[in-house]
Amino acid sequence: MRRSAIALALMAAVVVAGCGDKKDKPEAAQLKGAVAIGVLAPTSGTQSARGADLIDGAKLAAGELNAKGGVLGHKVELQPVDDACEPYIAYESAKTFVTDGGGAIGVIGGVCDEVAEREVSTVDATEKPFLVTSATADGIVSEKTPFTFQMNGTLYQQALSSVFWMNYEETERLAVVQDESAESKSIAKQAIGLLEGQPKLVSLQTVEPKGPKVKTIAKAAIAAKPDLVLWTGSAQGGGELVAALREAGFKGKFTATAASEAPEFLSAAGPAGEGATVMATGSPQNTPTAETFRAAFKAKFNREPGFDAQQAYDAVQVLAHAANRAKSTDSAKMVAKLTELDPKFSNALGVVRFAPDHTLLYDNRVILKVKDGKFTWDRSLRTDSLG
Amino acid sequence: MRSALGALLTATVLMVGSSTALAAGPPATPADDAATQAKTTAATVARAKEIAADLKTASDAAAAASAADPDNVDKRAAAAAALAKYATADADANAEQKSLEGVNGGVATEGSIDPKHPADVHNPAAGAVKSDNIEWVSNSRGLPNQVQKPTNANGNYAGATFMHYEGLGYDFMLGDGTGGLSIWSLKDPEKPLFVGGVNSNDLRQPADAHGPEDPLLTDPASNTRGFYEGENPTVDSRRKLAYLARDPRSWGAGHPNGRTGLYIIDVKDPWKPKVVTYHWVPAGHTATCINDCRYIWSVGPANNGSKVGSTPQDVAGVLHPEWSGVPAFVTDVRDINHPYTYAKPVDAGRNNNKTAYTHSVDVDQHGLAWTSGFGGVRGYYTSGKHLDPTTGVERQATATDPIPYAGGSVPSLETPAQYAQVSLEHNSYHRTQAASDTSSPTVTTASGRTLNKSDLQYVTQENVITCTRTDGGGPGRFVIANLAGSYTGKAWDPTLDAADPNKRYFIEKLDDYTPLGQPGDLPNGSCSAHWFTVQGDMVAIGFYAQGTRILDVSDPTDIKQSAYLRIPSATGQLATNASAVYWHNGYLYVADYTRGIDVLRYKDPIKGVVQPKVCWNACDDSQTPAKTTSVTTPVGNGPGGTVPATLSLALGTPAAFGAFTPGLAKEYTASTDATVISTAGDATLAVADPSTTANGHLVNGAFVLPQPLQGLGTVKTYTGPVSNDKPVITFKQAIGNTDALRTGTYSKTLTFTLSTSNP
Repeated sequence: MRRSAIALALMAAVVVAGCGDKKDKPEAAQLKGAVAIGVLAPTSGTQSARGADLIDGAKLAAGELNAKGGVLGHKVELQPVDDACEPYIAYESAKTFVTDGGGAIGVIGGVCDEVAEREVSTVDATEKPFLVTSATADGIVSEKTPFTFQMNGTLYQQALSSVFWMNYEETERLAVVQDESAESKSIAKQAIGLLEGQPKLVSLQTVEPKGPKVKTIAKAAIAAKPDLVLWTGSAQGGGELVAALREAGFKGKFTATAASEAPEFLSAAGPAGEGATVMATGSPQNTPTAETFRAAFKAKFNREPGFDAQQAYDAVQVLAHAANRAKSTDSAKMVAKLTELDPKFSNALGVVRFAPDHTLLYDNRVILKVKDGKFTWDRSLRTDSLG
Repeated sequence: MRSALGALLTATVLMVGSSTALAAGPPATPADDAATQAKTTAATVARAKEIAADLKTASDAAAAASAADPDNVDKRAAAAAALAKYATADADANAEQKSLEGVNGGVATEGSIDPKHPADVHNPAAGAVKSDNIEWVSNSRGLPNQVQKPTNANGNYAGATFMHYEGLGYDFMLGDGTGGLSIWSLKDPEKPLFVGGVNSNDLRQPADAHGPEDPLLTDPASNTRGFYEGENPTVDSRRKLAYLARDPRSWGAGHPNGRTGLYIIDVKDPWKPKVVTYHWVPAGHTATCINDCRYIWSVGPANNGSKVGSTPQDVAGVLHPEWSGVPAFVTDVRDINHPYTYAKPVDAGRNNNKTAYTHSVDVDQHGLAWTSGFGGVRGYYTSGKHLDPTTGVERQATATDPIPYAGGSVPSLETPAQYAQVSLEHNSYHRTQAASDTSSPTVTTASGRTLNKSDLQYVTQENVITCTRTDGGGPGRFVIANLAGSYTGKAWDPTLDAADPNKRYFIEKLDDYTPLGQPGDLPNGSCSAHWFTVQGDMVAIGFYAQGTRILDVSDPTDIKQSAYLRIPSATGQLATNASAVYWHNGYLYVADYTRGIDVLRYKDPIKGVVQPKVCWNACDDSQTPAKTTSVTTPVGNGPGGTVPATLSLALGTPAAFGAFTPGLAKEYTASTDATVISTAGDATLAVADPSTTANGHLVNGAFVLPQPLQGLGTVKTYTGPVSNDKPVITFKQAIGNTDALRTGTYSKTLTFTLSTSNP
């Protein structure tokens, strides 16, 4: 299949070369009619609600673009393809774009980590820009996927952000508590790896089903006299831990990673959760600067947008901006613009720009603080605005 | 490359004694703390792995004890603490390993210059005004000052630095200015060969959120200035990265519209450098690597940049209207893909509690970071545990939270009302003595005054006007100041007040220098002091139109001009406009704002003791060649044999005292040996304690043996070449009958140095 894709690409090049000698003629030929953007989304299966959210976010962006003249003067159309959040289906879904990109100038999507991993290798081989909207695993993109970029911060970036946050908090003594999940342990291990003694790690524990009670864990953490306890596990576990810590007399700071931004955290923590902070992922619900998007989405679809909707909206806008900026839908030219710092390339949290490893240069981590039993906006953790 | 000659070789060995019988491997000590280590080496990696393995054993045991009694809080806490120690040590070992893996020797084969770069131009130097003891050798323009005018003879360089490419075996020079970054091969150090760079058009970004984006520099009729200007460029020579500070005045912008930032450029292949990232930073006139280039301090410029009209320039509000300049902002560049700048600056309040323009950061041979700018010079620890003189509390110094060391305002010729508004402390150099320098730690002046060498701070004060003008106290000068009395945090005293001349803290000025009235002066030419480097007692400094000046600072109270060279304007010849002069490998390299790079040779002997490193900016290893003599080229094709330059030092089994017996007065003896091979004309083997904690004493955690370790200093001197000599190095440690000894191991990591002044 890969071989035939190359052959087709070569044939297309011959046709284009025969069109004439003016540089803009190939563009005109390519852009006859609408500009298509592929959308890989789970419209079936257990994640179908997220898929619908993602497609609606993309529709909103396409509608706004078309109201302003589209991309390079052409109407934007979406090509949704169901990947069901199942890797074996995702592979076949991704092959939709193998032949000449399926007519699309770029592709967005990738809700689930395993699915995104499967889709990336195939879509990237088409040499069409692919913006992975929601997956958060490390290693999905790299310099070896030259046409693919990740629109969500990775687990590594979550660990990196936690260390930056602890520096903001001038933390000197840190206790880390993790649960048994691979994600929790990965974030904890990567954060510890980035500390370099600032702050000093004084206690490390794992909450296990057959292990000590959470009260014992809380008291053991307090014995190390930390001024901040970092929880990297589930929302329920985080709530239980902060409740146990406060009950045992802990007066220091409590911060949890993104998984704790859920009602289970608040209900398990109860009043003890007041003042706790969560390093969350920016979303329409928790980010005040996303209010314009949120209002527009509600007006169009009569419901609240989810995280995937915002990611899809941003991804379509970024692809469109790259094409407009490049004055071309040529993949290489669009990709070059994706890696260039451009203040107009922005979303609710600021500039969208990709690092040489194709992850976000400045990720979408925000700090929420529990106030009156709710998560409330505290600040963005990005520093690009410092410049 | 002959740079091996004259190199200084160091090795470290752990010196241990114990109040109990020695174990197979010593336990972790404060010296093993990653935060105290200024550099990653194979030894630090091995040591980190050894410590992690030991701690894993302890952690497993504690975990087993806790598992057997799962709700016992004390056992659980002990297990959690043990696991934290192991996890930290394991992370440290992994980080050290990763850091070491990032170290590279650059490309191993020579490349070819990118045809997009214009052909080099070599500016002549006819009629150079100079002393007899200095000569002009060559010139290279590199990239032109304006990318849109490739035939311009003008090469504009605000600064330069050097990088050794282990894969090729020779050095490269990196210079930057309005044309961008230029790179030269120094395979022939007399004739730098321009091999590549990143021109200012390739550096440009649509980055200016406060005004129009950086313009394309493609119109030959355009006079728009490009990059501005990366004074004092800093490099990570071990990982082959260059960092350029972007000033807001880049690409034709001005205060306060322009954006500041940091370019990170991969220069593994000097023929094909690659921009990794452009990162916004609130500061950007100069930049300096801190702590093995894991952090960057970006500083300046003079405006506070806090407002564009009535709109705050920086959304985060980290720049303050009441500042008179931008202090140092710290960027974590351990992950160059995701650099992170901290909102809280360092070196704030530098002018008697008023935050002012920090212009330069220059690290000394011992790792102290010295800032210069309006209000004087100030030194900081950025690693290790030290007493904070402002609080009286011992704490860990870090790049983001350094500990004050010394410094203060430097007397200038401004009026008290003008102070810190006209004359700028531009850059500085803290004099230190390396372990290999066993000369007296003091210097006696002609008038009989005795000064500590380590109290001496060399400073340039900048005021860019011609020599004969007097406004603002006249043109900038080179100054020697005395740090004595400033080590107790006086420059950070909260009662100081920049606005009140009676509430400013000044260190003593010992002498100053200006070219006016000196041989070779150009009275009506631009005259201010600029960037300089130091070798022995000789300072090489750029003085704009006055050109290069070599100053003899043997007597800090009487600075003498030893040499000068300036190139006049002539038909087809551009005049000197010297920004910086660098001692490097037997030559002087001049970064010139007009001529590009000039290579000079100073022919007289270097006075004083040449230190292993010619430190400026980050005091990077590649700034080190201590060669002081002229380089000769082999002549003739007849038969013969060549002796490769060799300076080799290998250490035997580490010395160990065995067990110290508490309450018993006794002198303990321990020995080790070394193997020395040298082809140099002379050589000296010395051993020193490099630590700043209880220097010269063995330590056991926070406990210090009261009596010093004996045997430090010069071990043996050689007056000629030597092969496989095996000197025995003996140490003695006296223990008094009332000396309190703490259970555990007393130890120190010592540095052995084999050096030569006659390679």
